[in-house]
This record gives sequence, structure tokens and C-alpha cells, in this order.
Amino acid sequence: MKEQVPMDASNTVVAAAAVSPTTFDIVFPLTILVVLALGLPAALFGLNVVLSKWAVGFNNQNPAKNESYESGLGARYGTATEKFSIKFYLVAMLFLAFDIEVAFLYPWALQFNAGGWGMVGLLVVFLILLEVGYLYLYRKGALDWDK
Amino acid sequence: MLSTIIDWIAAHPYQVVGLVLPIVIPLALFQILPLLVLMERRGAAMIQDRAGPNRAYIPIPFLNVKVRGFGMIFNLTDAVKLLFKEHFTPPFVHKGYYRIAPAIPLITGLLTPALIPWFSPIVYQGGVLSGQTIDANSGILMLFAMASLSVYGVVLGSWASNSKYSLLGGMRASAMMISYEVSMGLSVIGMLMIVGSVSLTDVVEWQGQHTWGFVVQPVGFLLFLVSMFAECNRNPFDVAEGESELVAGFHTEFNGVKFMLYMSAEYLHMIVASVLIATVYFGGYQLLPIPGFGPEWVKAHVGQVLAIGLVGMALGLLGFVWVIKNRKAIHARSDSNPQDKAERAKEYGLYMAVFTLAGLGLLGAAGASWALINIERLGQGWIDFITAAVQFNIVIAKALLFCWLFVWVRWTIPRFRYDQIMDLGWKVLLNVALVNLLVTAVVAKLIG
Repeated sequence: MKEQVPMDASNTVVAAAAVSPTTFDIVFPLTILVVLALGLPAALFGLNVVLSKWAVGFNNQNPAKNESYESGLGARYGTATEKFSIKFYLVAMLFLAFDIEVAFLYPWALQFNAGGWGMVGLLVVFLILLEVGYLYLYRKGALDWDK
Repeated sequence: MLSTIIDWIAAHPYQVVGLVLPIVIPLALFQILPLLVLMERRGAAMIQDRAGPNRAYIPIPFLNVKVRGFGMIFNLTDAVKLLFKEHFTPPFVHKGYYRIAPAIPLITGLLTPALIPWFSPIVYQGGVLSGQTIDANSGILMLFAMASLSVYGVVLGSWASNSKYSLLGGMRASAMMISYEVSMGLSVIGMLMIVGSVSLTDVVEWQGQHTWGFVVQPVGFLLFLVSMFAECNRNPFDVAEGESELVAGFHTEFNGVKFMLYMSAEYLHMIVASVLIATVYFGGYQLLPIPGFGPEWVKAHVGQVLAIGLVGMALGLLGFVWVIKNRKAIHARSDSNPQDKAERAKEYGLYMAVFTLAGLGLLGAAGASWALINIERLGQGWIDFITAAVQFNIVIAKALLFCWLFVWVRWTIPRFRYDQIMDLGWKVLLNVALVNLLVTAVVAKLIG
């Protein structure tokens, strides 16, 4: 993260930026931002608790209110955390594989302007490898949701 | 005392910007949120040809006028209602996660704008003040990393609710979001490889020197737009809360401020997505899609640019006065009761007076800025500051157009079925993104 991405000399902005901001100048705004981002939901949540419980509201319990919103069926058809389709797990595995391959393409993209036609050749080799795996998954039916 | 403070600010620009930006930017985006809710309600009413939000009002005591504010008052009543709702945790939920989960999407929505460049880098005392709150080299990668975390809010919320509808909605939403994240990451690579950097400031600067991104990457832009719709859980991809199937999806069991956190996060994500689309493909803070009108040109003519923008806003307001005048005439002819007619006539009269005054004021401000804002009168520091403000407003104006696109699509296109969504994501968008990448690489090398 600290390492400056190599740029061509014509990009004056980045060349000048290498001089200035220290680690403090990045960490300081980030700290303020994180405090704000954590504080805003917490403040809203706290405001709700204060306003509803202590200021104006009352806590009224009854059996119907304590049921889950499931058309009155409730626990008759099992609990919610029992089991669900294995397809979701498969999608998560596919996502892991393909997203890592996307992440591999980012360093290539950054060096694309530096190389010649060899960069295109690299992409073709990568895409062939990717497509072989993709076609295998396709033929296996891993990408068909309604099968 | 005052001069001491000014001297300290001038001596510590990074610290001051580092203090001001992370507070001002998220809160400014948070202020657009009610506007977006209003846009959604008015847009829905307009597209479906029905009355929009127009019942809630605030009485003004001495003028004897009811101000409905075109439905703006509904935002106020919504916030008050949700904040005053009973703080109720159902007994069947997993309490810890149930309370944490609604905050996660809002936290990511507030963190992601930190990587967006809001104005061009300012050269100051030999250093450079970046337009990004966090000027990290990882740029858009860090933005994607933080944006992906919002999936956890959906998954945790749905699982912790311990309700079947919630779980189904959450599972669908998370599977869809991670599916479209692949094509989102792939589609933006086309732009990044042309620019040769992942820093969004570099992407915008490149667009200023050449042309806007959607000209060089039309397919990538469309892919990115579709993926962003899916990431924001918006129609036609809103299976997460398919209300005809799953009650309300993953936030079925949430009430009061917890529901409010989810909803505000959804709209905040729409704003951030619009800003991101505008930044990567529509030039960010660049004024025009042709080279020669970059930040230096804007800086040299900032008074004129500001004046033209203010004249445009003034004309918009005066046009709105004309619309209200027609509305008033239509309402006067309608068959509602006389008391209602009199009230409405007064209300419309108040709006017309206020908007006419505001429009004339803006015209005056435009003239003043044309005449007064120049570098000889104000000096470099003020010109830099005004330019930054103008550029921030350029980004916001572009983003609002895409916000309207989100609303427009939602009320025009019906919801997709779930298997159609997964097929589109894995079988169409992924392959189109890969082909787009290959074509971009070959064409870029052919052109040189």
C-alpha cells in the first residue's frame, strides 16, 4: 500500500504527490472517518432507545407480538436455521474462485501500458485457462440455478 | 486571535483538510438521502400517474399557511416516527448480531466515499492536497473491499432474525451480491488498464486529458451499471426484499431505528454507486468530455463557470415557479371544497414568492460571481477553494442524474425471477466482461 505505482513521467499529479502526504496524513482522516461511521449508527440507535423507552414510550408485551412474522405458521414447519438449498454454498465457492482470478487481473492491468503485445498474449493465456475451468463448470451444470 | 487561527490553518493544510473532509463529505452525502427518498416518491407518483406524497404538512402560525413542501415533510415525519418507535427486540432472535447487523451497511456506506476524488488535487506550498479523503494508492480496490463488507449486514441480519422469510431473503441477496461482484470487478478493469492506475484521482485526471470513460469503454460502462444495480439490491434485482414473495426479505423482523438504518444504508449505497459511476465513466469533477477544459481551465475561469451554474439553477427555479402557477390554476378550477381551495391557493402563493425571490437572488449571485471572482481580486488560495467547491458540485450533479436513473428503472422494469438473475450474472455478464477485456486490450495495442 505504501509503494507508489510506477507511472509515466507525464503524470505530474502523481509525481508531485510522492513528495507530500505522510502516513499521519492518511491515518488521521481515516481515524476520524471510522469514528464518525461507527458513531452515527450508534447515536441513532441510542436516540431510539432513549426516546422510546425513557422519554415517551412503554414496553407492552403480548404473545402475538413475540411471534416471528411468518404468516402465523411459526415453528410448525421447522426452525429458520434448519437447512436451506446447497446451491447457495456452491455460489459462494464459485465466487471465491472467480473473484480471486479477477484480483489476479488487477496487477496485469496496471502494467498493461508498460508492455507491448506480450501483455495481450498473457491475457489470452490467462483467459484460456479461465475458460477451460468455466466450461467444465458449465457442462457440469454448476451454473444452472433451476436444475 | 483570528489571525492566529488563520496562520495555523495556512501552516497545517494537510491536518485541516484531514479534519474537515472526513466529517463534511459523509454528512453532505447523508443530506442528499432525504432528497433521494423524495425523488423516489415523486418519481413513482409521476410514472404511475397518481398523487404522490402530499398529505403531511407543517402549519405556519402567523401566515396561516400549511406548508406541504412537495412531500418533503414526509421525510421529517418518517424520521420522527422511526426514532420514536418502541425499542423492541423479539424474543426468538440472536440478540447480539440482531443489534449489530443493521449498522454494518451504513458503516460501509459512510466509509466508501473516502476513496472518491471530489476535487482536483491542489498544489499548495510545494505539496499536493488530494481530493480524496484517504489518498491511498490502493484506490478503487480499497473501495471495493469496503463496499463488499455490506454483504455481512444482510447475511448477519437475516440469520440473526431467526425467521424463514428473513433467511430466504438474506441468502438470495448475498448470493446475488457476490455473483455480481465478479462482473463488477472485471468490468472496471477495462478502464483501469487504459489509465494504468487504480487511484480514482488518476482515472479522473486521465478523463480530463482525453475523454470521458463511457466513450472509450461503452460495454464496460453498461456492465458496471448493471452490476451496481445488483450490488445496491435495486429493481430489477431486488429479490432480497421481493415483497410479494418474502414479506420484506432480510429486514422482515427489524423495526424502529434498526429498519431505518437498513433503509438509509440502501439509499446511501445508491448515492455512492451513482458517484462511483460518475467518477469512473462520466469524468468525475471534469466539466466537459473534451480535452482542454480540465481543472486548470476551470481554475482560470471559475467565476464564469460558477455564474453559468447559478444561472442554470435560477432558470430551473423560475421554471418551477411557472409549473406551480399552472398547478395553482388547475387546482382553482377543480371541484374540491372552498376551504381546501383557499388553503392551497395560499400555499402555492407562498411557494411562488419564495422561489421567485430565490431565483432572482441566484441570478444576482451569478452576476456577482462573474464580476467579482477572479484571481487578481481574491488570490490563489480562495480561487483554489472555490474551484474545489465547484468541482464537488459537478460530481454531485452528475451523481444525481444516475440517482434518477435508479428511480426511473425501479418504477419501469419488473423484477427478474431468481434463476434469471443468476443466469444473467454467471452466463452472460461474466463472459461479456471477459470478451470486453480482450477486445479492449487488442484495440488499445492497435491504436498504440
